[in-house]
Amino acid sequence: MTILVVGNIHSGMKILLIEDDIETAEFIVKGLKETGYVIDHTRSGEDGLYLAKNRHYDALIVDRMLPDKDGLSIIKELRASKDGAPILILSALGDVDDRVVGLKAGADDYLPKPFAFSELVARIEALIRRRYTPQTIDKLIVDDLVIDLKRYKVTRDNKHIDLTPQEFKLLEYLARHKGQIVTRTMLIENVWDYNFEPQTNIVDVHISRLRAKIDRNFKKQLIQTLRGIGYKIG
Amino acid sequence: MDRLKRLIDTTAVKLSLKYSLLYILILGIAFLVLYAFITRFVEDQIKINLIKESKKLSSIYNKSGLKTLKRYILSHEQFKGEDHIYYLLVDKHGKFIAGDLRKWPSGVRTDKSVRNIWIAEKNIIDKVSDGDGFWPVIALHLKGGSRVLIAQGIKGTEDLRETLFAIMAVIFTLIVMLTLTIGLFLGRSVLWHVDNIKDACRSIIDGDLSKRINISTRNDEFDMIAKYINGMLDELERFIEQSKETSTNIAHDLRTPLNRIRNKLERILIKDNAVDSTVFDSIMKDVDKIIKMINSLLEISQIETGVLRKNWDKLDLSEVVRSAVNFYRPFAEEKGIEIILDADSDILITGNKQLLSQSIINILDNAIKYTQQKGKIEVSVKKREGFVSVSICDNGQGIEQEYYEKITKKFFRLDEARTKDGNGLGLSLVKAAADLHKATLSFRDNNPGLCVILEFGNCL
Repeated sequence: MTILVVGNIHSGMKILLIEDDIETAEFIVKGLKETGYVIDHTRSGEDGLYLAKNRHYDALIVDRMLPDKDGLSIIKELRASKDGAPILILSALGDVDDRVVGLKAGADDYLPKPFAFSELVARIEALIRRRYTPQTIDKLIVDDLVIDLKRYKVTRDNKHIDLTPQEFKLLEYLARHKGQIVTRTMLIENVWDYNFEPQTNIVDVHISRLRAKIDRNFKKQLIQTLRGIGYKIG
Repeated sequence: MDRLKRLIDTTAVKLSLKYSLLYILILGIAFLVLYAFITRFVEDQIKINLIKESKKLSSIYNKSGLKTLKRYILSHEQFKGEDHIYYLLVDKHGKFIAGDLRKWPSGVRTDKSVRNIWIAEKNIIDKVSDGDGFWPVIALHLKGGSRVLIAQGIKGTEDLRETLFAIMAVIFTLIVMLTLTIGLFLGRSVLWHVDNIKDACRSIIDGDLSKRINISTRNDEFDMIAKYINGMLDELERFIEQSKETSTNIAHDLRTPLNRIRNKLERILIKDNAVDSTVFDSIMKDVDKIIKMINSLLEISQIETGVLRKNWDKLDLSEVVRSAVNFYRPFAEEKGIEIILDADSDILITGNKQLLSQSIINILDNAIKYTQQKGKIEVSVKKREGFVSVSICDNGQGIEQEYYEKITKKFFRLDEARTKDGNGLGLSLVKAAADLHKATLSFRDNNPGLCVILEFGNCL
């Protein structure tokens, strides 16, 4: 049995940014450095491909449209050479179809421009975390909360908590990203498989229902809300 | 049948009908004048003949006496035929001597002038083919008291009359048929042109702005009109494209600086705990709202261009609706609204799952927002003959029928909706997505409440 117990975000993780737009690149580089990442940046697709093949990176951020090389073909070449670093595509196009195309080409996540910086950070962290943690685990533990993935059972302080399938999926996703910020968009994409923002902030309603079941009768509140950004468990 | 009615309704056919009536009127007058002249001429000829004949009889009597006259009359009897002249010779007591009539008809005066006198058929001996009628008659007194009468049979004039009428009838029929045929041909050619224009207009109404009217090589007035309409459409299309492009560009350009503002706000919020976070929070919410609106606008314009028709998948519409309902159920339950789902299973259609989900969710979102506490929303997915119908019916306050058309327009919001959350783009997206899937979006009064119905026919 493998049990996932997650600590803080690893600092010093290396990221390669392939982005030709200077303004966007500067904004990303500056922000990620402040967050604690080590970042290499190139404006050329060819250079980016060379760097990715010859150095070790924990994650890649690739712009879809580059002057010398299409972002998608870089991803395809890297995937063909069995490079395992997770890749996030940035795209100015940003519709549903582009997302599908990008993910089919081998990217791990997709973020349309313009984006909130917190969204980018949350997604990069999720990608890196996923890379270094086993995906086939039986139990997720957050404090005294135990999620049994095999038997679809949740207990807190050894007391059984009854959840709907939807609530279970939501809790599982939060717990898999324990200690990380998870944005609303990430939840909508991964828990419900929707790629759009609903008119009403429906995720908040789901979270408050989940909270009522997980946290209401306990002193320690496991699910935290980060205003304007998202949620965090643990 | 419908086509025939349309053909009759064309100006060409109506005009030709009017013209044929006019021709008939003119010809009728001409015929009457001609007829009057001919009958007058014939009558005059008859009169002249009768007077001539009476003079002849008178001179035979005066020269050779009654017997010769009788013989003359008897000899004539043998040549009875059409245009026959009938005679009657009586003595001074009115007794029959010779002739074709049995007795002297009443009203005949021996004043040597021609009169039309009623002659009955039974009064004629060995009648040939003349019948009852007013015959032109002349009578005279002979010296010695005998009287003689000469009458012209009316068969000939009647035949002439009949022939004239027959000719006229044939001419009338020919004229009517000819003008009508010409009219129908003209009408058909007009209809062809009109249909041509109509087809193009219908395509444009259905949303294909690039459709134009076919122009023939005839270079007639219809081609001229078509050229002008096409020119107008070119200009309109260019204008619409331009304004669409402009609004998309504006939306696009607004998005970047807005996101920068948002990112800066976010950094302040995370880093500096000293700032009044509630103010920043509300600013952030406002910015998010604008960004969402711009994203929706761009999304709709992208759907409208039709590029999202690539990458369509087979999907289960029931499942799409069920997931959407599950996603929104907690929101409804918070307001005490019950959602009842009645879905047929395995309804496979081809389409874009994300867009369809988003459409259903937008409709649900509206239904929940405009339904009072403890309301009820009924969602159904039904397979019908040749199409699939998805209906979402609430029992809220509903919408006046006059607004059905308008509520799918961008940024249109009913007055009571202005106070609620939302941006007036939700149903515009549904409409655009429905059009993309060639589905129809309609609204119905649910007494009380509103039913939103999506019908998928072409992507089964």
